[in-house]
Amino acid sequence: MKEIVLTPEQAINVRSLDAELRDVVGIGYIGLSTRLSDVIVFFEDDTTSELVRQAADVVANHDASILTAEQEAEIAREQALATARNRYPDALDPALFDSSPVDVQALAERLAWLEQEIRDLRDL
Amino acid sequence: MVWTEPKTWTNEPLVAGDMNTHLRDNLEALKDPPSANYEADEASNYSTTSTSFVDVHATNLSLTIETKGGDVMVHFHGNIDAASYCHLDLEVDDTRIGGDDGICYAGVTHNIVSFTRLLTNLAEGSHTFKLQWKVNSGAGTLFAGAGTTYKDVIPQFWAREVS
Repeated sequence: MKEIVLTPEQAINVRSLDAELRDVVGIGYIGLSTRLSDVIVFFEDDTTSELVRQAADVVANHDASILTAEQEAEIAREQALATARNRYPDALDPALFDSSPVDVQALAERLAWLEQEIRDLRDL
Repeated sequence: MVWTEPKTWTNEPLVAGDMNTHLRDNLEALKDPPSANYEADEASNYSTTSTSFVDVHATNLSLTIETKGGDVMVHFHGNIDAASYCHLDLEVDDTRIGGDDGICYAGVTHNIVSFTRLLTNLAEGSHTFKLQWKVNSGAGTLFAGAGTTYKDVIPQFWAREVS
């Protein structure tokens, strides 16, 4: 295994840098590690010096603010969850369904119970 | 204090030299066995995306002790987040001791990873123990006192001769 040790001046987004290096180096790329202020990039032994040089350029020009599609999806999921939580800040009151059919009342009671269980799990 | 193989006593006078070498010095050696310890309280956490085993940190998480020969116990504990699997292994004198996927692994999040490994019958001399890791995909993070919210924890890695 070959490795290069780099000390970039800018912040590193490990997942996006990993994706960038995988795109540039291809199958010879094994991965990267961060150790304090260093970034270590690992390659298969037969990786050409030109690809290693290109990988060093990728690290030097890396922009941590550019997210991977997966990271953007995670943020979107978290935002959607936060929005939903804000939409229903209060616990469900089954009494609101007293005039509804019996089946709906039973579902409302069960939903209120599940909501309580989840609030308990989340320490709310 | 260095361990000395205790002599076999015969009907003979107890002399200070023998008592000091075989009792006092050996008791002191037992009290203070060869050991090394590192607590990772760093400015930033460790991370990897390597799919082959690599050192977590080639110097910080690398321990060397001079042993008299016999058994050595090695321990690590820490918290790791992984995108999928993050595998840990122990390298002893440049040779990994685990299988293809090491000696233990962490799953997706909030993992306490800990192992204590007894290494038997190591030869007398200098031995180096390194913590290594790899992931199967994505990134793995070892939290190391860097101030991450709820994850500002300090891993420990130690080795000690025990026989």
